[in-house]
Amino acid sequence: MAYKRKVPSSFRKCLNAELGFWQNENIINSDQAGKISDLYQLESLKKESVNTLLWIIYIIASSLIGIGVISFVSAHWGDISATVKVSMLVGSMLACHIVGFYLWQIDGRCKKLGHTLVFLGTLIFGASIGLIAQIFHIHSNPSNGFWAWAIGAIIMGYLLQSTPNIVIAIVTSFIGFVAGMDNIFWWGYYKPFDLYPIIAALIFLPYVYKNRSGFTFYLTMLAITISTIIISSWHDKGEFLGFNLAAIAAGLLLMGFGLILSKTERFRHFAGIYSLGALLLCLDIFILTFRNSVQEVKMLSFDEPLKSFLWALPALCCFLLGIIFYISYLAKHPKDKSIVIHIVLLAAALIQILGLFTKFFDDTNIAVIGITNVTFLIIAAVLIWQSFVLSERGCFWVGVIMITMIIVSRSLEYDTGLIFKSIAFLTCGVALMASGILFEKILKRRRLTND
Amino acid sequence: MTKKITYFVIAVLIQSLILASVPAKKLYTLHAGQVVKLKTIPVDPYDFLSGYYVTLNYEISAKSGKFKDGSAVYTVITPDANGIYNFKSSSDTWPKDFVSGDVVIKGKAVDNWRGNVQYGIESYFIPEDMRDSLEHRLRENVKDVVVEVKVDKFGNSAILRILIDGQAYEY
Repeated sequence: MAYKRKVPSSFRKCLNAELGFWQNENIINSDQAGKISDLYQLESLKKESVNTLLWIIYIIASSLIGIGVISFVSAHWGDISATVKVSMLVGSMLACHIVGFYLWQIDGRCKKLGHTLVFLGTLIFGASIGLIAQIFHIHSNPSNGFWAWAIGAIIMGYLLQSTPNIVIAIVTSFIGFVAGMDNIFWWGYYKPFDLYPIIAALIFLPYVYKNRSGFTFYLTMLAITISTIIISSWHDKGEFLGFNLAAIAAGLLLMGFGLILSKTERFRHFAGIYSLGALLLCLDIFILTFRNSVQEVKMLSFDEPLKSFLWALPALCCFLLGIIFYISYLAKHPKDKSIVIHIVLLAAALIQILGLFTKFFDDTNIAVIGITNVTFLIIAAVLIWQSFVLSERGCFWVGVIMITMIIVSRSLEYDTGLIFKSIAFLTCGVALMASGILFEKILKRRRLTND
Repeated sequence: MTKKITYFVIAVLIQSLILASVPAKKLYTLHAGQVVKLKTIPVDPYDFLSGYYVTLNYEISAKSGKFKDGSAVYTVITPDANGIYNFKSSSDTWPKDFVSGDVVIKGKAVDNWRGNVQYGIESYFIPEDMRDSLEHRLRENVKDVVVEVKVDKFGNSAILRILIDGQAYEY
């Protein structure tokens, strides 16, 4: 059988452990066990765990060696001439790359070591940019150095299909973005950093698509999400509004993306991004349940429309893509067992966006505060309701925790007196325990009925 | 296999080119430039990303006048009897006629506390073990600090050494 399934390692380890038991209990025969083992590549589990351990050892060892060499050189740095310094830096970078490539791609006997050396070579490349700038007394914004490092890492990552190099590229490009947000690298109004989320998506997602690297995918989406929120918050007058709108838009994108990926064969294991998106959305709504947070929301200024548009562009893209993914998923899978939750979260996001803008017609903020609190409660209530329908423990506890959070935070936020606070906390605690016990009883009764 | 090796060579070449581009302009200026001495007032912060450096503030920076933030500024400097180059004039275009012996140095207008124009020679990295003694000498001889720089025919500049009360510090 040529087709192999890609599933989490923890599942494969459990399956490997259970296969023997199933055979002993005559649940499956040895032929079937062989087919399952082949389908999930269980034979290579032991080798993979050894490989993982070796990877970790090599990375730690090469990092320690690198730090040791750097410390030794830096102790004598002042005595060495500029020519020798540059030669040492370039020489060590080339040595790591060449030896690493030979071991990894040509000889093939020490692939992990070779790949680690290539990774170390890119680390030395990045350090060399800073050191060469220091040798020649070149002082510019650190973001330029990080971007140069990212470009070198991207080229190496793509040409050699090296995930560690792509990870360096994501991290350094993000640092370059953060360092450069306030710098003097202007092209008129077109600050390239405003487009970082879009640039990151265009550069890194194709790699993720080709190599199905989960770590790279989550790191890329994290970089896109955080940078979108930072850019929208950078607006001169509407920082908090920009922050909230971007958080909701990014949450929508992550949820929509997760839903779409959950139905694909190749990228099903990336679907966890949905939970991240839902968490971001709920967290943002929760922040806005506070009176002080709502007071911080100010009107955006549009003195320079082009600048404002560039700031809003990444968030707008997130919002539009998120809506498209979401609606196309709901249209294609109307019988999804969690469809009610998906619809409620989508509605909550849209209501939240509209709710924020009511602030500009209502100076008292009552409408916004009311909308956010009610929205948060409705999400919690729907999660609890659906937990009974779907017999899902996770939904239940998330819903209960959300209700507890809203009651506790409102009790503490408003000057309600100690007696009221005490009643609120006691009621929450007792209700939490009682609801948990009740839920487990209902689940148990259902299990028995099904049996 | 040939394809893999080709890709590897391309990747390494690009990284090497990026490294080479970092000091390229400075190397040209150091090789082809003319030596000039500028009077300066130093300040000494700590940049943890790049080690220790001295921030240099030049007399010619403050005298350059106001220009649009981020625009190129061309300053004409002229030597005095002691060989120190002083401010003569500045403009936002390359000066068409200046006397022989004068030098044109290119900078960028910035709006900060250091002055109106920066010439790319405002930082000088010093070894960690030299920091305290150099800082001490700088504070003792605030008025006698001169920086030797090289300026090429395009106005780009690069620091050669710092002279404190006649003594040279070069790293």
